[in-house]
Amino acid sequence: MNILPIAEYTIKENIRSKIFYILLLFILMMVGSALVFSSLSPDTEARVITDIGLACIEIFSFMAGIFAAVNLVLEEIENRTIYLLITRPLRRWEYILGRYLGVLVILFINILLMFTALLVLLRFTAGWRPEAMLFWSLITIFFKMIIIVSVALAASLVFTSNVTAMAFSFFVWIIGHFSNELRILAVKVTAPLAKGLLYFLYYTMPNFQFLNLKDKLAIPETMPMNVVFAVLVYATVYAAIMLIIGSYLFSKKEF
Amino acid sequence: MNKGVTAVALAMLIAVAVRLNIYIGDNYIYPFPPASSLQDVRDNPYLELGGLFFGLRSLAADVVWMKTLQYYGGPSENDADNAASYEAYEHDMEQNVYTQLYPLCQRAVWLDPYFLHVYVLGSAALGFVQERYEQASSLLKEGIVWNYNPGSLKYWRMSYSLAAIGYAKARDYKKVIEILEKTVDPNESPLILVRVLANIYEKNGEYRKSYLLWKIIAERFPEAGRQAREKTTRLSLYIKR
Repeated sequence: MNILPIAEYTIKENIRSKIFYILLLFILMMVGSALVFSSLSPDTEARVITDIGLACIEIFSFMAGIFAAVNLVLEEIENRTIYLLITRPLRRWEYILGRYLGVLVILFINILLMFTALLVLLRFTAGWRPEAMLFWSLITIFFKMIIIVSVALAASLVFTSNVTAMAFSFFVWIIGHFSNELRILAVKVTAPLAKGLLYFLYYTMPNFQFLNLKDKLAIPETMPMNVVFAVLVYATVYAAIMLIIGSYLFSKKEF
Repeated sequence: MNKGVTAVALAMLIAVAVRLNIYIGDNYIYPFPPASSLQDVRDNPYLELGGLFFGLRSLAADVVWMKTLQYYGGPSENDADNAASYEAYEHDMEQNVYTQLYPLCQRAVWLDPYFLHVYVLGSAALGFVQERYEQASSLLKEGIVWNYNPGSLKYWRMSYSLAAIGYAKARDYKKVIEILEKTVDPNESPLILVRVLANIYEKNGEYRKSYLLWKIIAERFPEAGRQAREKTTRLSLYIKR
């Protein structure tokens, strides 16, 4: 199996590129905001720190994820290091999957460390008490990354340009969070073409709102476990689709 | 990659994804009101837009609530240097009318309708302090609709607050005190609620109770120290009489 060495190589590459500096930024932001907000709104301190913490985890992971994903293959093509790899007995889909898994491992470690920092801060500032939905929120943030990294990777192979691939991923991220509005608009609009387009976007774009369990911290009873698991399967299937598209495009590339 | 196998796998996965999307869509309760329901944003819609586009509505609600607290709290004796940032609302604050209080609370709960503090504290400020009973009731009723669950503490806190607002409107302070004593813990509750209870004790002629609460306020909330000292001085005179 060639996937694991490729994943390991990707992890080492990301560590060398100092991706963990993001943690330092996260901790600084969290401590700073906790100090500011605890004085502004002491009664909602725990809520505010949790909201800021989860938002920062998500945004930092998103930025690190798409940046790493779009550069995964393009940089290797640019530096011509790809030739060393494709001359080996390595199938192209294995290369894509290995690279993808490597980025996910790095993101997973990053998310876990940021979450630990958040828990420590919550414990010492607001007297945190564990809630299952907080952990589920974190898990779904990681599953958002599973989707967006696969989208960014596929986009980098379609557009073969870092900037365009990043812009496209950003667009998908926004549309994905806007999915409920897309559905409401699709129901309201009467013009068949616009209706069709809105439904097309609703079904083809990843629905990140499903994975936004941090919105459900105050109302965990509205998120039954069967729906949570369906959402996790949905994210995995969506990422698999993107990876197949990415692998197919990569297999068609001539070097 | 085998083209045929890839195409079949892709088609199957797309079918599964669409089916899952439909299943989840039927069973998932969107927690927030849709963007189209937003009636009025007087200034700075960036928070609403940011919350919507990036899936961070809860955080945006926190920011709006903090703006509300800054606006309503005004510059205290400890942050006189920040007075310039309140210029926009200077007139409001001089007149003690706080016209933006209700719209700001509405903005916060539009972003996050499960934000209990906004309903309870916002309605306390609107009802008990500003005597805008209709706005206070309307805010609480909205909270009760969004958080309808007779088994939850949240629901009962809002229901109690609504009843207290009703009694305050009818000037039945005895009943208001009865309710607030059940819901306000002087050593735990936010300043605004403890202050409301202390003021209502005073209105009802219960000067000793009011005095004791202001003493607690002075200890717990340094930002309200000046007001608490003035109150305790005045109330001690009534008690001596």
